[in-house]
Amino acid sequence: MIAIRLLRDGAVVREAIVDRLPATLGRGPQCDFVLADPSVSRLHARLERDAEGRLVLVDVGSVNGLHAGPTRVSQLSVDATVHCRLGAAEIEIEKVSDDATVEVRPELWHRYEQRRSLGHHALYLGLGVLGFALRQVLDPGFWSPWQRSRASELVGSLVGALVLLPVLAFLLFVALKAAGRPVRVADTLRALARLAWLMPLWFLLVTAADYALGAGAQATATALITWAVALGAIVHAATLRRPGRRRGFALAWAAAVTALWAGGQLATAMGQRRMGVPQNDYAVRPPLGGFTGRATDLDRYLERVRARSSEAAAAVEEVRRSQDGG
Amino acid sequence: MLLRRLVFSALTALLPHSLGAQEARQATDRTYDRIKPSVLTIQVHSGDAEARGSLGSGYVVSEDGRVVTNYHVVGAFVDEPGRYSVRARTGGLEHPARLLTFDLVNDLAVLQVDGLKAPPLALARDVPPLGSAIVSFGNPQGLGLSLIEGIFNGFAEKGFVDRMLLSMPLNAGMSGGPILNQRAEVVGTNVSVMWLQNSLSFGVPVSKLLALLEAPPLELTRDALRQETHRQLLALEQDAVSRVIAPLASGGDGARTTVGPAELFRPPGLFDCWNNVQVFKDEGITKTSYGCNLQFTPSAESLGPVGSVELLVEHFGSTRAGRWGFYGALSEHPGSHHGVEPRDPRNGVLSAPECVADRVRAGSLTWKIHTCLNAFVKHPGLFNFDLVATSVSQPDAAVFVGLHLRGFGFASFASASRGLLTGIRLGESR
Repeated sequence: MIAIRLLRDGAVVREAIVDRLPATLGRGPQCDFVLADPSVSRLHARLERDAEGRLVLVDVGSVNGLHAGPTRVSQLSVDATVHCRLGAAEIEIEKVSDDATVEVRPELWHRYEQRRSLGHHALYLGLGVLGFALRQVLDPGFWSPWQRSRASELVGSLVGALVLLPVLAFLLFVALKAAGRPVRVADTLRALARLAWLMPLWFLLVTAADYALGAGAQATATALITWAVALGAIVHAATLRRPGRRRGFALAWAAAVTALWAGGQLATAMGQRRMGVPQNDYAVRPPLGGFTGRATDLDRYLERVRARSSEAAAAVEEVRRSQDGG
Repeated sequence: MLLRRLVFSALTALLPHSLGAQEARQATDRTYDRIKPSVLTIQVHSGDAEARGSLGSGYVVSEDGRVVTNYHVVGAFVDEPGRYSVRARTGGLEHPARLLTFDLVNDLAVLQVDGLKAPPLALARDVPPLGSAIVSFGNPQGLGLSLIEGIFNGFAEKGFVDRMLLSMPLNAGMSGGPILNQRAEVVGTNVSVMWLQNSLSFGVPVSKLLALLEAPPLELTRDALRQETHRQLLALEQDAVSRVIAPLASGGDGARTTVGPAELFRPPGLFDCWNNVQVFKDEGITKTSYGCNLQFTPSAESLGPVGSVELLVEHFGSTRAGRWGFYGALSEHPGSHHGVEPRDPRNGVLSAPECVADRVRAGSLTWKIHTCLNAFVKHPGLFNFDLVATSVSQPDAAVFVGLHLRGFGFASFASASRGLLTGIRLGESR
């Protein structure tokens, strides 16, 4: 069985199934698939099997021709799904399998469920706002005695999140819609609510890494965790309502964005190095219970400082030589 | 021009009031006439327009034309002898001057000026009595030879090198001029003015000059002068290690000083120390600070920021905040957590900062230590070290330590930081 579909602006407007070959396409009423477009000839093309038994679409002497993309062709082989143009009419031809029906489990139905009630929106928004609030409450600065207006601070940021989340969700919705994605605002809102929970998660992971690894490795650990979380966020946004068969593409896209970002970070770090910007790390984390985390001994620490001083001495030796030379 | 004349007449009008006795007035007049030809203006000129010149004063100390001035006046020449030349000016005549020796620690230099017809000034054999009147000569701002009267107050009690403490307003350009007693003998050399103070100045005692006058003349090549600068800086570091770093590292006489409930070994008496307590009542936080600093060398631009030690210990105690909130308070009120400045490694003075941060056990406490260091381009083996350590050991008390060494080797830093950190004990704060 072969499905022939008439498209308008990429969307299917009519479909016909043919099971006998050859089948004709054209404006004439005797054709198997009639196209009421003035640019289409009365008998325009024929769908048939060639000498080797492959399915082909053949131009049968039409005025405006058969087009695959921008090029005019006399015939076109139909392997899987084919998009082409007869004159100005856009069609899609697809071989339809008559295999046994695929069973869809009821829980998968929810994935394809498009309409959600206002209650769902409210729930997603509430979850997102809660993520924001949790991040704020986890911050030691929030509990600092210098923090005088804790309640108003919290309410302020909650109201901010309440405004920010729907606005961001709408923008993401518009962006994805423009990319041809079948999303709804509820989808983007739910995605953002999940991303909001990444903030407290990130904070907890970084704090835990600091205690587990010691402050020396903390900068590296923080960077790695930040990267993992950011990558997760990007992939999540990229795969939002993507039909399953395009997942590879979404991952590649996320990887490309990440690579671009990594390049930017690397360039910044190198520029800072060249300008002599110190890698300041004064952060002191609050103790978890009575636990102050892993610590090295002073001799080992001083040995690391000594190694750095040798590096600096070697670097200035080069500067000195170049000055003497110049 | 008119303004300048007005200022001058205002100054001369003021002088008789400040002098008082008529006899002193006459004595000063005589001194002025006698000394004037022996005081010179020392200028450092550069061949090219880009390099900066400098201006100071100097005075004749021998029949064969040896002239004393400050190291920092001729520092640019010592640094780049090929680029600069030194000249001495007196009575409208200009003579070329040749550097003989210098002492950068005491900020002295000896020049040879040929063709001078000025009588040498006599050097005093003994220290003038405390409170005695002295006069100082020099060429302030290059405007003309000037005399300033003042009082000798003895020697500054703090600090690494001996400095005469003078009640007189020295000005820029008077550096290197003579300080004379009432018999018109040289008792010292002008060196500096106390920063941001109105009329407190410092002089180098003449005793420091005697040894320098005996020293053989230096070879005037860049390498030889650089080697001599390096030798003096290393000798200074050695001296600093034995007088400052070693006592700091070993706890000296074992005496301790307190910073709130924390205590540490008392730094050697050379240090200029201060302390301060701030109570934040509403927040339930008490901040106690204890800081010390010590400057070693004159601030000569050609040397770069060499030669000082600064330490700061701060204790934060909390009575009200919870454990979590107390650390939040620390990050908002970080005390000694001043950052290390970015440093372009291409500027030719210091390398870019290299930093090491880690959590470290030292003594009875656990610290988060952040150390940055820069190497001096012109002084091999010498570095600037900036250490900031924070103790995270108690839920209601924190200790910050800042240690800043300028122009030291790694060994000095290691023993100073080890002594300071292991010497700190934290008492019960609640």
